[in-house]
Amino acid sequence: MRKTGVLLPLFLGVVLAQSVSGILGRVEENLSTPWQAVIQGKIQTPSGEEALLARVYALPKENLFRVEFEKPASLEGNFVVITEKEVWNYLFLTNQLVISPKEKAQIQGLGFTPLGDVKDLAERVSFRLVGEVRLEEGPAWKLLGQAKEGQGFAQMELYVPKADPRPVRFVFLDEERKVLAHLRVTSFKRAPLKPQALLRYPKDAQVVRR
Amino acid sequence: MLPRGLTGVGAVRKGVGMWLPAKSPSPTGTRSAPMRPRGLKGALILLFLGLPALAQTLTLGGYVDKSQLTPTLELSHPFSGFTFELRATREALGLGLQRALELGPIGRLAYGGLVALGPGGAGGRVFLQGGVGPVALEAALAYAALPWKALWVGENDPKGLSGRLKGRFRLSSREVLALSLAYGDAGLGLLPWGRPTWGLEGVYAFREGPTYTVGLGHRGGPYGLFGLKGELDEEGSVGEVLLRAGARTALEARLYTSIGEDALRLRLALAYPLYLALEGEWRGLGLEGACGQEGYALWLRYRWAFGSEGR
Repeated sequence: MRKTGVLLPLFLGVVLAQSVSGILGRVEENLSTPWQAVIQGKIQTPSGEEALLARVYALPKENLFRVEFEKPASLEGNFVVITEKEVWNYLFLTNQLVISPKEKAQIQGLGFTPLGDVKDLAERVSFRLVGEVRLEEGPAWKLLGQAKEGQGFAQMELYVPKADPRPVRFVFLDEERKVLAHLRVTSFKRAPLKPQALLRYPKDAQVVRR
Repeated sequence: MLPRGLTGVGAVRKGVGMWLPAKSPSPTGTRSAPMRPRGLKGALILLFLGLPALAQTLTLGGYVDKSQLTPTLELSHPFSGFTFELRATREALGLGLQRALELGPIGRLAYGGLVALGPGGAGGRVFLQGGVGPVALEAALAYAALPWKALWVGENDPKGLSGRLKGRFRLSSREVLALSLAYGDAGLGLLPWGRPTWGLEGVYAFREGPTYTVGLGHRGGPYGLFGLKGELDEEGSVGEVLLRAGARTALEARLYTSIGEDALRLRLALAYPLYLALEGEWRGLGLEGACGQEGYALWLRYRWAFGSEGR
């Protein structure tokens, strides 16, 4: 009996851990074909709360993602491309394309960008399953993630519908559980994307390699 | 020293391994007979032979104008978070350090400085350039004991103080306002265009498909500015024309496209008083030429990139 009492939390821990990896595995499988989506919501910036609207394009098999910003207005025209080894930041106002190795890249606050790159996300955030909730999209798992250092946020809530396992909502929180960003994924669709389209940038941009 | 590409986008200095984003300087007259510092030649030979092995980028070239014919060497190498830069001609040596504050999709701020030694004098400058959110800034301040032309080919700012300050502000997602104040050369090409002087320019750019630019400036007299820039094809090729008309009249045209996987950049500037500048860059090969009342100049360079710089 005593033994069972000691083992029970361990056993439950293993079951939950498996559940999280199982859910993330299903997300990865579900998002393994090319897709595009819109991410929108509110983010906290130094000047207060602002609306965020970004289009995400993904070629998961090629490890290629592109995020184009439309809101806030100060970021419109800026985009980020994440390749297997590099992060490209295009800055519209200075017309610069800053190319960094992934390990040097600044992607703080952009925890949603690799929303199809579950392995990468799981490396930066350790998730646990909190329970199930009912969303507009139907019953969904709620995962709570503890961010590793240097992510720009402390915790992350991730909502994954059971019927169509892919992230549909993200909530980023700081150490004091204050909401830094509340984002929703809309207009999700499978799309025949080409790598050249995701890697496209204005030819007159100044390319800066770090 | 007038900023190039005032359409609000693409205003950053082109060129192969150039130090600062705008062309500088214009000497006020002919320079005295060159005095070659002792030992500099030997040091340069060592640099030409040895340091390239350490470089991240290495650019070798040859420059000719009516007063000099010189090889040029530029190299850059990352060093402890900084980028170390070296440039040398037969008679001059420049050493610089720069680094950048990277803010991801929010922006980037680069800053640094350069010290240059030439025949019988030295010069130095510091710069800050970049953008954060809706604001971009470009600032440079330089001082030299001799015209900058003696410190690096193609730089035409005068001896003494020179500099520029340019700010760009994004009024909305489609509108950019730019203001600049500068003292030095007009920066039209390898050779100076007119005498170095104060320049003030205000530009409003708006994007409606293409980007349209209108502006007013004063540089030895008032002038107007009109520009048009837009993408030419699905591959992202960009064409741009910019006309300044009035006390200063100059037409600039740029084309940025690619041949195969490699970017091709072309620039043509035609100005009155008569001045012609041509620039081209493809696969590391760069050619710049200018002719005007000061004669002609030609600069041919080739740039090698190593390590992470290579693609």
